[in-house]
Amino acid sequence: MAGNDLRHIAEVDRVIHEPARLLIVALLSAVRETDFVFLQGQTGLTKGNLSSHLGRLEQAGYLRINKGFRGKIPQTVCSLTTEGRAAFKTYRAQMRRAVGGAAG
Amino acid sequence: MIAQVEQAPRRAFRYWFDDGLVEIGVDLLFLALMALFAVEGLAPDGSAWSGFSAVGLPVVIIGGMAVLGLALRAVKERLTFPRTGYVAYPRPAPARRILAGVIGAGVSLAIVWLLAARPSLQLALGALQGAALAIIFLALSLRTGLLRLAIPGFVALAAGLVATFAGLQSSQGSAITFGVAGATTLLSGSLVLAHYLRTTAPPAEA
Repeated sequence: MAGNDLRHIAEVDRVIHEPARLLIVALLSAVRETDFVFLQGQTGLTKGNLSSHLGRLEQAGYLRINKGFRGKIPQTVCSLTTEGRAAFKTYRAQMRRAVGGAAG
Repeated sequence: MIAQVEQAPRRAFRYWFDDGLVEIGVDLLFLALMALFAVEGLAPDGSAWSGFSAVGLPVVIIGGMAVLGLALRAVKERLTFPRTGYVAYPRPAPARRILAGVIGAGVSLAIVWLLAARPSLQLALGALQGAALAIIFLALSLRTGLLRLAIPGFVALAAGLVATFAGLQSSQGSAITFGVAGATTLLSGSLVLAHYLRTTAPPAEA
């Protein structure tokens, strides 16, 4: 059983598994949509770093990004796609199994 | 790291309370309820105003919550979102909203029936309302991890108990309970808003 659980770790989605992206996806999983300012405040990442991670998630099809303006202020709105939500759900289940198996 | 990830959705939910505006909005609702019960409590027996809360209560609660939601959103658009970011939360599924409505209506009917069946309980209305507020605020506090949100509920419970043991008329007890809850949420919300405005800055225009 422990062998199976460890195999789950090897199978986890590496796009989500990266710590900064994992935090971004976890935050986005609780909201319908949010913007760059909120994500930057909550993750503590620099603008460049956050942009790069958002781009990677968008590239994987997990994230939808809409750029526009709120009044005269530019705004980047992000939301998880259905695929992104499903991938995060799977990731959490895999990690729970792996961590639970290792603990037991 | 796992703990941090598990906390992230809670942090996202808690963000709605970071600026104190929700408490200030809820305070206005409580003060409206206080006014409603005060009008009823001060009205002479047998006057048209003596049953005012039966009609006014659903209007204030349902209408007030609808107006509060819109007003809160409008103020956050101008004050909060430009400073610390915009967030929109998922709407509850229709089945969940219907269930909440059914439970709310069921609890209301049960209370009305209980008060009609045992009129002596009306004297304890302030304490019962205080207890209900304490449960609601405590649940919100546990969900968000914000201890301050539990305080108005317990203060309202204390006020309701004092009003009940002082033998005040039910509407006077209710007015005191909601008035004290309103004053506490106003104080708490104002302090949080002042701190939020001090520690955040509006962004520069493009």
